[in-house]
Amino acid sequence: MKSRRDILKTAGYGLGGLALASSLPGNLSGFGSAWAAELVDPLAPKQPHFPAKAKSVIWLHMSGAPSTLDLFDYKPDLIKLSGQDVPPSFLKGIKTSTQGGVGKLFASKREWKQYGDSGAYFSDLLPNLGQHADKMAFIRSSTTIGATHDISIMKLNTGDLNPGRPTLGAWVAYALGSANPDLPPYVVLYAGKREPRGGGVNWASGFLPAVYQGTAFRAGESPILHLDRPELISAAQQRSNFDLLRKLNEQRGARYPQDTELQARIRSYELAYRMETTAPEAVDFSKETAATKDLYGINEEATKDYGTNMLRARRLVERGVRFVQVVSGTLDIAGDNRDWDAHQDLELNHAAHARAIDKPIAGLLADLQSRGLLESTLVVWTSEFGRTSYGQSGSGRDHNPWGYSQWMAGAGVKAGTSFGLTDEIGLQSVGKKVDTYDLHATVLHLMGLDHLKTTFLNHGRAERPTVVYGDVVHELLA
Amino acid sequence: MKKRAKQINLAVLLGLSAATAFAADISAVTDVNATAAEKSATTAAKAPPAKLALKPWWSYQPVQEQTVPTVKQAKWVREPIDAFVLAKLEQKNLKPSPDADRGAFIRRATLDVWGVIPTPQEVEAFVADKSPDAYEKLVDRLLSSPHYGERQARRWLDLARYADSSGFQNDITRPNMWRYRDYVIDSFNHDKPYDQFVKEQLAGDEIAPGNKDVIVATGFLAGYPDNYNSRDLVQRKYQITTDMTDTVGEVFLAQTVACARCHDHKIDKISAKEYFQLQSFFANTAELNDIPAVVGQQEIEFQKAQAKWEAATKSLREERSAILAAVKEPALQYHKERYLTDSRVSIFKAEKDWTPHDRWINHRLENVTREEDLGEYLETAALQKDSKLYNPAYVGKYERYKTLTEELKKFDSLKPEKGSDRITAMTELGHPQAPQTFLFFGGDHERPLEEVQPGFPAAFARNATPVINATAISSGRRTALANWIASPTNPLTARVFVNRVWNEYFGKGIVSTVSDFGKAGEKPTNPELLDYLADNFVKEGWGVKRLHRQILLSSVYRQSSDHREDAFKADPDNQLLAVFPRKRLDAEQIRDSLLVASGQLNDTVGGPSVFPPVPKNLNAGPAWTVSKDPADHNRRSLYVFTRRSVAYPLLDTFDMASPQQVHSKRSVTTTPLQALALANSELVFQWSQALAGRVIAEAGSDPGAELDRLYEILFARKPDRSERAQLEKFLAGQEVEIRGRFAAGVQDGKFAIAVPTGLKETKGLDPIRASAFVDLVHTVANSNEFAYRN
Amino acid sequence: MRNQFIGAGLIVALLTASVVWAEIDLSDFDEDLMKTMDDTNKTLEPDIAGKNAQAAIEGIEIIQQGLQWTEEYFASKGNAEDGVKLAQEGKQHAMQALAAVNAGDFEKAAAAARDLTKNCKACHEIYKPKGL
Repeated sequence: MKSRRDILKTAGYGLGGLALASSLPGNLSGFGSAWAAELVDPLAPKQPHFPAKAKSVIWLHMSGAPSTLDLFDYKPDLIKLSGQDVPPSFLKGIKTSTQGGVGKLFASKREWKQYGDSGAYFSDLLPNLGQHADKMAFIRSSTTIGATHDISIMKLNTGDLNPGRPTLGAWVAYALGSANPDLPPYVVLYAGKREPRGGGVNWASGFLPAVYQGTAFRAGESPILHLDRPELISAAQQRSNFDLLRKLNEQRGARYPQDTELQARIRSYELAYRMETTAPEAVDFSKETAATKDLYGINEEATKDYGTNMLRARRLVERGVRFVQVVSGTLDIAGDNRDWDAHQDLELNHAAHARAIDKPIAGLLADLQSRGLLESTLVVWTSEFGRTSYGQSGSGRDHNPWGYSQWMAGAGVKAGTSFGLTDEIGLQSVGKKVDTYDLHATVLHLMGLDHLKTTFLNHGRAERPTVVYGDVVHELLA
Repeated sequence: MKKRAKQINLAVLLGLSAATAFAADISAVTDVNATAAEKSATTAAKAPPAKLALKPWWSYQPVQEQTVPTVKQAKWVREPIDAFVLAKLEQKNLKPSPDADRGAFIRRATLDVWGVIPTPQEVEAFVADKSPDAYEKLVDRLLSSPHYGERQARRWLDLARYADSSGFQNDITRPNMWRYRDYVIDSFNHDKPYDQFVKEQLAGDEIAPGNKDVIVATGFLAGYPDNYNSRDLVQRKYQITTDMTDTVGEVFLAQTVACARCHDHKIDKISAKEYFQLQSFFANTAELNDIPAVVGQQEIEFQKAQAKWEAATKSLREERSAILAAVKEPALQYHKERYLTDSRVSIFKAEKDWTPHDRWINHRLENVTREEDLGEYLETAALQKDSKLYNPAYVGKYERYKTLTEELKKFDSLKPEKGSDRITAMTELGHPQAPQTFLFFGGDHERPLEEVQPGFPAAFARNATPVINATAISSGRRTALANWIASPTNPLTARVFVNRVWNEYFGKGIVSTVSDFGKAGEKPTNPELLDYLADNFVKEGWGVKRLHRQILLSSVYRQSSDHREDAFKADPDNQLLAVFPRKRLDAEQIRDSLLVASGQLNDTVGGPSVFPPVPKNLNAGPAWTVSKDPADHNRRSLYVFTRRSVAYPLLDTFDMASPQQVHSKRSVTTTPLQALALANSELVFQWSQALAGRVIAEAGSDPGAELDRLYEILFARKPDRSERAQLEKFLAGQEVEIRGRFAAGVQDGKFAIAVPTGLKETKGLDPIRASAFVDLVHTVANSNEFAYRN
Repeated sequence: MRNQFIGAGLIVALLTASVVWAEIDLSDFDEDLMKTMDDTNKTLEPDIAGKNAQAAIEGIEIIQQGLQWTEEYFASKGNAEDGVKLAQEGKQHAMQALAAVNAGDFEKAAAAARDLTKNCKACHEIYKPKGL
């Protein structure tokens, strides 16, 4: 019996190369060389079901759930009714958390302005983002299941309320493979003092093979631990070390021809070696112009952290990373380290958080466009839920899973439009609603994937990314 | 089987809430192929449970005594377990594999029993031992070492969701938890019978009140992730009880009882009511963190350090306390008001009116309230002008309080770096009367239905009922639970434990779902073997070492792991064990073995947890303050501080256990991040430098002997001819490479190379060649062969 | 284009008016049963897509039984015609799925399972208040 290797050599050698040639976009062909060394790679590029509009996704998770009522969703009636009880008709069909009735309707001191040809409203918290109104397609009738942040964040990323299912990024990596063998196909970026709420389950591969899990880059200049060689080892030295390692491993590994783990481990050192160069390069801003850095707000204290992640996201996308998940961080607000979760002090909270992200996201959209990357990159603004039209603690808003806004921009998106509605006070969605599953189906569609056909056999069940739900929201597509 | 279970379950569900008339309807849509028995079972939804019990699920049936099967290749059988394995192999016409060579065997056994690689001396002695009981001597030596207990403890702590911190947002240090960890180590090392081990962890405070060595065992229960900041104490009580109940169900009984919390179990026959009956065993259980520990060396050192800090901060603390004392009443009132409605009901009740539930809540309040909490009142009263509490007179006091607090922080470095003089345990606070337990609608603690009493799930308790004897200071409930779990007739306990041990040695349990013996789990691949092990385990007095010894001395365990095409074709998943299953070392085995190889391991047993160095860019801040004493850096991984929010990176990357909940099985991932960690970590590289030094020192000057020694240390074998050629070629090439760099570097005036460390005698050592040798050592330590146990 | 946003209020008013919330007391509805159906439904389509006929049939049977109960429940409540009708439609989708599985047409069965899911959702829109 021939070893697995032999079989691959005779029957499948060059398979990786073939797939690469047929599915990698021309401008990335320079990354192809490394594939020659790879034989059976679970990350080899795969064909989508139909031609893809988007090559990459930047998934902007606004953690803690911003009040889109204070950002995008202009509700004159809410302002009018501010301070009054919520008319009972608006509360029908939902269970609210406070037993003794909900708070009074609450309007923050926002000024609203229409932007662009589409005339979309943005509040004074997002003056920069407003400039890009005509790039966006708003989803105004977002709904989800809201229990707690951890649970709803898990649903936002995996489609389920319990751990165990793969995240959207893992599905993308599984279905399409890697477009750049020198970097992980699925990268997670976050800022702030803490790991994101809910942790690694939100970039896990679930029941998919572990190779598809997201790689979490850290804040700071070394985004991955141990990327730097030991101080006293030169690159050439390490190269010969790894060559020896490969020979020793292959020689000994021949005794266990069926052991794919051993083969994967050999491969992991090769990717690790390439990542030593590519990963720092991917996050090295030294070749970025001062103008670009300004665009992202990297030179200003308030926008530095998020701006860094936005510029990182662009550089990763540029290098063929399929899915970049950016989790917004926490800021020191009123003596506390908080994310967007403004149960009180919404004014302070949202002013700080909006300031931190407004310019960087605007910068990202502008930069992607000027580089021609917006055509092939899908940017998604998302959150685990929204916030209520009624107030809480006198100065904040509670969780609202019934109606909130999200938006998409870029590849294949019907720019300058809006889909769906909430009621006059922005509490509940009315008409056609967009649940997380629908959002996932739509994102996958833009990646050239039919969410019903993207399946993985797990214990005899053909599981798909959208569980048993999900409809592509065609109204959002160009 | 699966279908029948579902239908019966549904019938019961419906029977509970729908009219009986509807039962006829169910049978109408029931699969026409259903047997008469099934039909009668489905229609008789309201019939007593006995009639529903067609044939109990395998794991609910009593353990059966087994006859050792007759096998053809009888000579292969060393232990009865071999006959059970061989019988299955012979059914498939497969032969077992020949014995592994002795080097491979001792490396395997030492890794399995101690968690580290053996020394070349140990390997040599074993290989040279021609006596007929060489294997017995080896196994007994391994089992009698304290490292056996350390290794077993690590596996048990995975199950116990052990951590040194509370988890949740604040993730504060729980300074006493290591005592529970040491208790587990000691228990294994003293070969404590498993039934006793179970009882002590569940009810140590009840069965041996006053015995601190036993009370500490309840740290098993106390290991739940906790949120000291929660404003909802009633909910917290429910969450803590839930965690204890679910953990006990999963660890000891391999039952996913948690599923029955919100609704009757969908798959297994556990009703929501039975679930809450299980919870009620823990209804009166509360956490204590201040039981004085028996004073030994550790405690003396801790108290000395503590006294230093106390002395240095005395005046600051006294002044601050005085400020707070002046506002104590309103401040406490203010603090108490932060709790939610149903917590406040208990909090503001006069002590004489306390129910057992109120007592629990108030104890909790006391447990989590700190001096700083009172300071918050001062802050509000001083700063929040729109607050009712606003009082300009407090501005100065608050300013002073703030300054003092900041001043105090400056002395934090004087605080004892580790350790404690207290014990954390779960007790019933001296009260036999337990709070009521209710069945909660949909698992929602705000929707209580009927009250429930302690009871066991009928499906597997069969006729057992709890025998509860309250003592003067405790409800006696947990003792009753422990007695039932640790009873010889419990169908699950012994099976579950022997299966866990089997899983550790063979990488897969006889039941592969080690923590689910329910219907969603897998069935045993060799039920006779499982029952033989369980039956024998109980009959021999629940002896854990004996169980290990049986496996270690078996022919199954002694087999070679070499690939066999015939076995692979017949049994690709190696379920029948015709070949010994190879396994990647787990996180602790990798780190600890590297430490052993480099001669750096500090093998002190027990004591407070330590903080070894972490990469600079981890950015963990105060959550990870590296231990000052370098000796602490090289302790076994078991002693590395388990911070729930900051996993120790080197272990984390190799799939260490998550301490958030019961961790039943280590996963094996293969990622480039692991490669980066082993190849690039300065720490690991330093260990390679030390290993290189050790090799040179032990091998003398003969280059051939160096390579032999390196392989002996890492792989318990010598390199073969082609490997040697490969390595020598590498050395020559690397020497040229480094020499070239050296020449260039000398011109720049800056050049540094990595050389072997720890050498006493460096005369005659060519630094360039020595540096190339470090590279070689580092590379071989990175190889697959090191990371695997064959 | 700007006008698009101005007209929104009117549309909303119309849409809100069209949603008629059930005013009947559902507190005696068997939530356990509903959870069983939800859970079963979650594995139904994956079982069908994985050509796991046996498991799929088991799942469909459970859902059929549950919908039967649901239909009778709403029928006995009165003033819940939507509930009765949706349960009946659900049973039809389940039957279609069952027939397709038995005929070995898994694609058709999966489509029927998706219809079933939509049917569940439609009913929940009316009768299942969504909490936090």
